[in-house]
This record gives sequence, structure tokens and C-alpha cells, in this order.
Amino acid sequence: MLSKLYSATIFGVDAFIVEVEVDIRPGLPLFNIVGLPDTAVQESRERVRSAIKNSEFEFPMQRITVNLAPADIKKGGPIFDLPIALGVLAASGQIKSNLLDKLLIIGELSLDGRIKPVNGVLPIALMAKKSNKIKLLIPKANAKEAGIIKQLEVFTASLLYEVVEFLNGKISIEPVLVNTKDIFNKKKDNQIDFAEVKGQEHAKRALEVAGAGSHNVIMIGPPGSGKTMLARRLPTILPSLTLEESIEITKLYSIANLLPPDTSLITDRPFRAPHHTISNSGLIGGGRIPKPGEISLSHNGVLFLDELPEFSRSALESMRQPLEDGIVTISRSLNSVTYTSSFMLVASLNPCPCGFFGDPVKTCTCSSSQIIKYRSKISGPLLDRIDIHIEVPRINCREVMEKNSVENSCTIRKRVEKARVIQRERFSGDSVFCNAQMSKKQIEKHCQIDQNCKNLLYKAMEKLNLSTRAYDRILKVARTIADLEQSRKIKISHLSEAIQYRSLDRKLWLY
Amino acid sequence: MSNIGRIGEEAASKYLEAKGYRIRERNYRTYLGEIDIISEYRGNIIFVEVKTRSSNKFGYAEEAVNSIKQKKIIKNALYYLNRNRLWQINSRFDVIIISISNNKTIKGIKHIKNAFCLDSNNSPFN
Repeated sequence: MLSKLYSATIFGVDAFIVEVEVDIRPGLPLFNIVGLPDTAVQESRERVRSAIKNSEFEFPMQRITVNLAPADIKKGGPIFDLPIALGVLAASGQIKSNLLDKLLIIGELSLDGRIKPVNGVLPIALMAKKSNKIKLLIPKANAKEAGIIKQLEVFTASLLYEVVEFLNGKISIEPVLVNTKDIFNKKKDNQIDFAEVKGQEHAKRALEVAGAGSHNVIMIGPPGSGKTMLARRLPTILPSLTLEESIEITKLYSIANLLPPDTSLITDRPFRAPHHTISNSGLIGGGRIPKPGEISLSHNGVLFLDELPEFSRSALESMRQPLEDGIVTISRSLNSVTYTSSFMLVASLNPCPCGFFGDPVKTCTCSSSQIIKYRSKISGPLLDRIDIHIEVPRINCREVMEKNSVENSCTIRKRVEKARVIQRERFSGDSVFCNAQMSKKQIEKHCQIDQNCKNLLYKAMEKLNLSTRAYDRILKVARTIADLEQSRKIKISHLSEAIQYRSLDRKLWLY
Repeated sequence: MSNIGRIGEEAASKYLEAKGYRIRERNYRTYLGEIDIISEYRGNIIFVEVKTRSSNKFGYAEEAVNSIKQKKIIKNALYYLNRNRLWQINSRFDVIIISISNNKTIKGIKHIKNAFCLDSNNSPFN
């Protein structure tokens, strides 16, 4: 007898439907899976066999052929265990249900018949909604992930036995409902706050501007001046995620198997701080079967690279294209995959190997060749893509001891959110969320400046020897500063603040 | 051969004869191995492997006819067909499972027609 049911698998960030056909013919016992299965799918035979036997069902002693269609796309992972098992039971007459071909079924089986969670449930649920397969049967542990998609009827189970009883109409399973409002309204308790950073007011201001427009930032300063401390507190002033942004991030985390258990959505902006020994493919994404890298995992969030010159040069250079485009395409011999990677780069570095170059008190002990070597790690093109350069100098003890009341993260965040609201209105209908993502056309449209400003910018370009990309970036930052002040026009004060954030272009690199 | 096996083979050939199969050979043994029963039915040659089991404790009888055993039977069958110049005839491989109780009475007979065929799993040529 033949049975046919539907499952799904992931390719890149998107899911597609897989038809699982199970045919049982008389003959010697044989269990074959065709349709380009990988090793994990081949091994699914053993799990299915044991799970059926240990759930008190009978495994047919006949010739079983399983076909996974479309047959020309490689399929991997244990996601097909449950549909194959149900297909075998249906083809051998142990399940009689007209519900079977209306469901989209995914799940891994353990030998004792328990259903284990799988990766990529959110992309599959999104695809199910799009292709009108509104009934899903998924592992119980994945319930919250799929439950956030409204219009879907999501059934969950934790035992194979339970599923069979359900399909045979002996028990009923209630569809899962998750309230997305509750997830976003959950109180976040930040352990850290900007108020803890004493002094460095200009750096905080620069980070506020960066946060408001999602601009890339580089911080340069001697050791112990608070670069890392500032960067770690950046997420506390970033605006909270919108549902669309959250779904984009959760999709990537779901594929990378980094979604914490019992989580529906990632509601905090990602903050990724990889160690400087990270490889190219760890940063960009890669592997024989491509996986998202750190730049994709910090999509819509912050990628913090501490001690930038310690990173391998090729890893840093490979970031150039994703920094510009907001997507990264990973091509391997087997397939090529495009991941979204529109992140905010925050980098920190010392001015020289010993860390005290330019320090007013301590003398630098590095030779000039050492300094040149250190700085040559960071190329001009990479630096050009960073909108805001901040110098974080050493602060004196008096400033640290003084207990001035400083602004806390909450106050700064409110200003940032206001600026983001303006941006969202501006870009409504476009595919960008913030000023940093503006295209050339959008810059021309939204960043118009008057003659005075033009003169200033012209002089700055001449004096600082800025590139045309830097010109665009200055305009973007000026737009953000204007947004922070709720000003529709870019004024000369906004522009001049934006220009002074290009300090590295003139000071340290060009000598 | 054990006693149980002989009882099973006897029962299997009686069963086949009752169904109208003509038995051509019993225990056809060559240097390649042994085929339990070679029979003829409506112009087809049917090679039959008989498995006798008193319990399923050590796996099902069906499972005992694995690809190694199949390969042996297929090789031997090809040898037989060649020897007897049966080149234009259709043939088939069946398995008969005889389950017997402890006092050697036959509990059940299961006839799997076309139990296996030549494919990549059991081909003697690769």
C-alpha cells in the first residue's frame, strides 16, 4: 500500500515542502530511502524501526521504499523521522486518517518513540503559511517557535504513540496559541547601564548617534579607558525590535540551532562579540553545508570586534562586502546560500601595540615600524566603511571619583527610539529600517543640504582628503544627528558634528 | 542439516505441490551453495528458499535471508539456468517461512512471492 504525506526542509534561510511517499510491497524485508538523502536521513531508518517497535506498533516485515520528493534536491537532518514513521504506519494500515495528507509533519524520533525538537521550525512555519498548508504537526519542544505565526493550526506531540492515537481520532490535541504581545512586553532587566561609565561624554554621544542610525563605529584609545565597557552597554540604548526584525533574526537563529529552548522569538537585539581567533567562515558563514556566521547572527544587532588588529586580516577584509550590502552569499560546491547580515559593526582598538601612543601622560614604547605594522592590519577600505570614529582617551581619577549623576540607558534609549520612529516613517514602504542602510538614491532624496553646508563639506573633503564613500557616510550620520534633534533639515551644526566623527581619516592613518 | 530444517522443507514442498507447482529439484547443491527447492509454475522457474523457525527470539526468519544469502542463491540460480539452457524463461525468487512449535508440528506457512530480485544490494556481479 502507498501512503503520502508532507514534510519540509531548510535550504539556506528558506524552507520548502518535501513530499514523503512510503510504499510497502510484499517481499523480503528491506527499508530503502531514495530522493538524495544524506547520512542523517539514511540513519533515520534505524530510528524509525526502533521507535515503531517500542511504541507497541508493528514494523512491517516487507519491502519498504520511501521517496522524498523533489528528488533532485539534497535533503539532510533528522527532520523526516516522524513523517517517515507515520508513512510506514499508514502504509501498513495502522493509521487510518484523512487528516494525514493535510498536515505538514516534522520531527526527530528517539529509539523509544519520543519526538525530539528540530532546527528551523520558524522558517518552515513561515513557508507553510505562504503555501497554504495551515495544519502543522511538530515536536512539543518547538511549539512556541511555530505558534507565533497566526493563521496556522499547530499541533504538537512528544510521543509517536500520541500522534498515532491523535490521527486515528482516539485523542484530541489542542492547537498551540502564543501571544506575541506577551513576549515583547516581558520585562527586561538589564544588568548593565550607561550610567556606570564615568566621563567619556563625547563617546557616549557618538554611540547614541550610532545607535540612532545603526552606524558602524570604531573606538580607539589606550587600554583601560572604557572602550569595551562602552561597547557592551550599547545594546541597552538600542531600540527594541519590531516583529519583522525579530522574525528575521529568529529565522537565522533557528537555522543555526542557537534558539534557546522554549523560546518563540528573539526579542533582544543580538550582541555578538566573537574572539579574535575566529576564522573566515566563522565570521562570514560557511562550511560544506553553509551555516550562518557571526555577521549574520548579529543581523539587526551589534557585532563587536574587540582588539580589531588582532583579527586575521583576511577575516576583516571578507567583511567589506557584507558591510556594504547587508547580505552575504556563501557559495560552496554543493550549493550557494544568501544570508541577511545587516549589522552594526562596533570595533575597538589601541592606537599602537603598547597602547599608549598619543597618551598625554604615559609614553609609548613602540617603534614606528611596529605601529605601522599594527595599523596596517586595518585597511583603508574597511575604515572607509565605518561611519563614526571615536577617540576614547584615558580619563583622570578626578572624573572617575566624582559621582556626578549621569544619564542612564533608559533616557538615552528614549531619544534613540524617537529618532528611529522618524526613520521608520521616512522609509515606510522601502526595504530599509534605518539611516545607515540608505542607498545612494535615498541619500540624495533625504539628505539635502543648503549652500552653507555644501561649502563646509567641500572644505572638509579637501582638507581631510575624504573619499566619495566617506562623503555619503557623513551625510548619513548628519541625517541621524538631525533626526535625534527632531529636525527635518540638516543644519550646519549637524553636519559639522558628523564631519568630526571621521577623525581617523586625518589623524592617525594618514601619515 | 538439522532436523527442524528438514521438516520445514518437507512441509514447504508439499505446500507448493498442493498449489500446483511442479517440483524440479530439491536441495540443489553446487560449489556455489544450495537452493532448497526449484519448482516450475505456469512456465516460470521459481527458486524457493525455505526458512524454519521455532521462535522469533533471534530475529524474524525473513530477516535471516539477507543480502549475502540472496547473493548465493542468485549465483546458484544463474548456474542452474545456464546448465539447463533455460535462457528464455522467466524466473522468480520466493521465500517460504515455516513456523513450527516445540513438538515439531507445523504452526504456519508464509509464502513470500517474488521475495527479492537482482538489484544493487545483492547483485553477484559487483
